[in-house]
Amino acid sequence: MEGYVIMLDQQTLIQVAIQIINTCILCFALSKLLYKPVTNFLNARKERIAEQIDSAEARLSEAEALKAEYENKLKDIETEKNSILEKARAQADINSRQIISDARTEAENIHTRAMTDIKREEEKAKDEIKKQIIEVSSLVSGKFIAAKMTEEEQNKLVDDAISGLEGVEWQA
Amino acid sequence: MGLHLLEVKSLVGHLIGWNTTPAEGLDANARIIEKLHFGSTEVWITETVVNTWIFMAALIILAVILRIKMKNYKNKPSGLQNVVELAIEYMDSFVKSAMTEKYAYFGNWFFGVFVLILVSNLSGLLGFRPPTADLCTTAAITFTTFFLIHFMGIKTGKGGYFKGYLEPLPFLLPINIISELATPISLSFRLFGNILGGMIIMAMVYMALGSLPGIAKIFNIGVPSVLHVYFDVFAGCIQTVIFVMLSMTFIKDKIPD
Repeated sequence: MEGYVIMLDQQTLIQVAIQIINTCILCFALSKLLYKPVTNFLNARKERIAEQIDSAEARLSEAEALKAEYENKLKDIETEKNSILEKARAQADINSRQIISDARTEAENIHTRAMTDIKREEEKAKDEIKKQIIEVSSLVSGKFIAAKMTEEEQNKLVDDAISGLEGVEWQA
Repeated sequence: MGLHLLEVKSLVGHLIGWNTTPAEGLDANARIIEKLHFGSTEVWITETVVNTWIFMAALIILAVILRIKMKNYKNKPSGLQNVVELAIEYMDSFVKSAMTEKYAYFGNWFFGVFVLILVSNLSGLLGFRPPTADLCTTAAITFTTFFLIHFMGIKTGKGGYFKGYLEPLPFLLPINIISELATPISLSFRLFGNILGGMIIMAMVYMALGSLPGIAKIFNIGVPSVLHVYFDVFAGCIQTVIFVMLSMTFIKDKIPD
């Protein structure tokens, strides 16, 4: 069969033209079918990934800001709690002191009242006893005198007794 | 049939003499499968063109299948999608590193060129005659590069592009023009020569191995594989990368910063 290894004539130009057309067709087809869609897809994916990384970074910084904010709030809460506790403690202290002092006054009042009552009762008892002594002694002396004394002696005795009674100090 | 000095001489003479007669004994020719006639113009359908069509069809069908399979691109790639993404991302970063981010759209063109050259270079493994072992193919691809170099030069450089031919001194204009013309010639012949050379060496090796007597035929096992790995896989991949990288660099060179 006829053939050639290398030639430089009109036929070469025709062959070159055919091969140029072939190459163009192949490049066009491969570009349309494979290269363009795939590069487009790859670029879109690259952009999407870059976007996702950006948004992830933005979200991270947002989250960090939120975290710092909440940490601050927590700190505030701690100090507030402490101040409330402090206040409550001080209030409780004041209250307890008040209660104790109230109780003390009350107790003192009760004590004084009881003492006055006791004194009054004592006075009463003293008067009663005085009266009873007078009664008993006048009864006894009346009987004795009636039996043994003259009127003169009797009067003298009565006077003595009375004056003596006046000098007696009752012990509580 | 042995490999004789006469045949090597015949091949060299065949290459230098520009004739289209096949070298006897060693067949490195691109066959002419059909001769079509359009009026007075004769158009050959050669082995190169037919092979190119086969690879084009295979690549386009593969692309369609991949496209259908990847109809629903997933954000988390798996399996096939990984492979496709890897290949395209490699090409994308290759273009971006050679031509900067701004001209990343050249990836659309160079992806096709890269795949075509790579598949052509590797097709020797499957017994095809690589289309890149034909100057017509490499010249065609280089012509597009040549066109892009000067199109981008004029488009982005405006008047500076033409002024560039008079620099550093006006009388260097002829040399500048020659250097511009040398670019596509060196590009196309580099690829063509490498692949054709590998192909011829492989043909010679197969002939030599075929002529081995008796037990020495054992060398038929393994020896060709090692050489195929070097001439087809290694040289094929390297030449593909070199061709595409040089093309991109030449285009970028014409674009002023």
